[in-house]
Amino acid sequence: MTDASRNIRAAIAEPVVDDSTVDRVLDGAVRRRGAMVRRRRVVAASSALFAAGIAAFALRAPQGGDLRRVDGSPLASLAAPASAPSRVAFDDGSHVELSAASELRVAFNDGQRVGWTLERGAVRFSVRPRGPRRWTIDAGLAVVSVIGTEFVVDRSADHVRVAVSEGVVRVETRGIESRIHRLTAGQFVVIGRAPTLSSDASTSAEPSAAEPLDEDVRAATAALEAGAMSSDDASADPTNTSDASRPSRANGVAASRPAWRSLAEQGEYNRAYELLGSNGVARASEGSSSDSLLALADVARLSGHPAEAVAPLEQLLREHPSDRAAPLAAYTLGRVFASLSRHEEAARSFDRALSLGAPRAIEEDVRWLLVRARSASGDRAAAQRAADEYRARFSDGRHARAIDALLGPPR
Amino acid sequence: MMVVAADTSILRPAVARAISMDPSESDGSLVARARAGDRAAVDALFRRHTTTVLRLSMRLVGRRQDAEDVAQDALAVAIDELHALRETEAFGRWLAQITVRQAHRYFRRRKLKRLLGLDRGYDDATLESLARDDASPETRAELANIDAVLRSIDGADRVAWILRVVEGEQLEAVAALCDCSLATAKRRIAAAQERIDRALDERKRAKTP
Repeated sequence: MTDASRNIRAAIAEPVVDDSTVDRVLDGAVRRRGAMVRRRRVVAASSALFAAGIAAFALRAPQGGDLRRVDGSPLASLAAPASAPSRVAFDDGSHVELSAASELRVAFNDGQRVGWTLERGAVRFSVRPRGPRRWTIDAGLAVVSVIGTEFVVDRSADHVRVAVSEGVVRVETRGIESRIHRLTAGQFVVIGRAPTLSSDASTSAEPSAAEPLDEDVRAATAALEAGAMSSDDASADPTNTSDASRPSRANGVAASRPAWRSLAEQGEYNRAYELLGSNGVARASEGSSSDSLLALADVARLSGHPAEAVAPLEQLLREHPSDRAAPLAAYTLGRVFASLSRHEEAARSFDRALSLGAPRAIEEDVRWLLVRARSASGDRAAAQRAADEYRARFSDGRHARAIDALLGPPR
Repeated sequence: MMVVAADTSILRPAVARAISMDPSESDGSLVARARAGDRAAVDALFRRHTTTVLRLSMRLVGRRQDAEDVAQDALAVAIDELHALRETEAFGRWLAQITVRQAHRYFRRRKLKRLLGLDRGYDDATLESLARDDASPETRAELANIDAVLRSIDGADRVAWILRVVEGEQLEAVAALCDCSLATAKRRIAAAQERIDRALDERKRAKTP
């Protein structure tokens, strides 16, 4: 064995790994992990679909064709008279109850899906559990999807209210701030045109039933819910729609997030960015909480649009300067500026992070990046001062050697 | 600001960095907090070990860009499987094991690419490139020779040899990291060493007048 191969460890140095490489690798790992999860879901879903297909073939389900009324007549649009409710049963065991003056139109109907459009009014759907079709109810501001459950959808001029008495329902709201609510028995959601209802409900555990419904719809809904929720309550005052008076039945939606936010939390930053659309990060930033602003900045940064991360971070610093997230926002903003080679702005942001009280866990990094940004902006004297401050606080710091290499040894 | 969420598995870099993290906190404690849903703990845990993973990947693979890929894959797997880690204090060791497994996978892919003529990578993290500043020209030349031999050695043998000779791991540790028996680890190291010694001897003899 030769000298070098005997003592290779002594002959070589540790490879240099800088902060940006660490960040890049960590970000990449998060994305890859997201892709792994998605792949697994696709495989699981494919397997489930395959198994379901085999099972359906083996069982040769009799309800393979279109949904029909219980008397065998084809499905047609349904409308209740102005003065009385109406009940319609179907051949798969499901039925709907329309409150007075409600109208339900058939959008599509085949062996796998039946789609309704609720034109107006309130309807209680009782969909046979484990039935062959997926039911979809388009209520304008929201689309409700179910396989088997009981729930009420009412639609007024300004609101759509969905309340579930059995099973699970998926409610997807429309618009830029599209969200998906998953409601279980006893929960409800009210979707309104008012922007307050499309703000970030996820950070609040408050029920969504914050806005009043039209009186007629309230009464109709209450009557339907009284019938649907529990037979014990059949004698309940149908005009009593106060959700606070029925906490056990209407606990509200605990946590439902904008769709982009859910995607971001799954590491799907590219899809979150796509969902937000053109100029979407800036638009979604309006009136957002500090947490949402940080999340929006993450979506912009990690989907490869660092310049768009600047606005939400600056907004956070402007509107929430005393928030606990502010030092972090300033730090992140500095990194974004540095990645865009806007070194003077980067240095200012790192300065700001320090003045806002950067947590100890990031202070060392902030000080090192400040040195680097000032050096890169050509202000060597300021870089030297920042370096002195770094050395004074972190004499054996992780970046001490890098600072020496950048500016020379301590004076 | 919400920094702790029910989903433990997702790193959100900006939010996670906000938390004041005690640098002396043990890996075991961070693993426990990460599993309990503390994203900042997940971030701190992986950030703490990323440099080590990257350096190990570079030495095993010999290419910076490919090493980043290996490191990303290893970290992604580790994030995904964190819940399955039994000895939480041995997090670093576990991560190294995953890194080695990913390096093996990388060499299998590279072998296939070579067969198809698609391997166009460039070895820029060689032992010679990592030589200390004060290394003599003779040492550098010898490291370059070893690099040349390593390029032609089977991936599994190369990984075992690097873990033993470059990383200084004990034989038992090499076996554990490579997920093979001790005998296999010894055989792989010996096979690689024999090739290196033979090649270096031949070069020496060729130079001798």
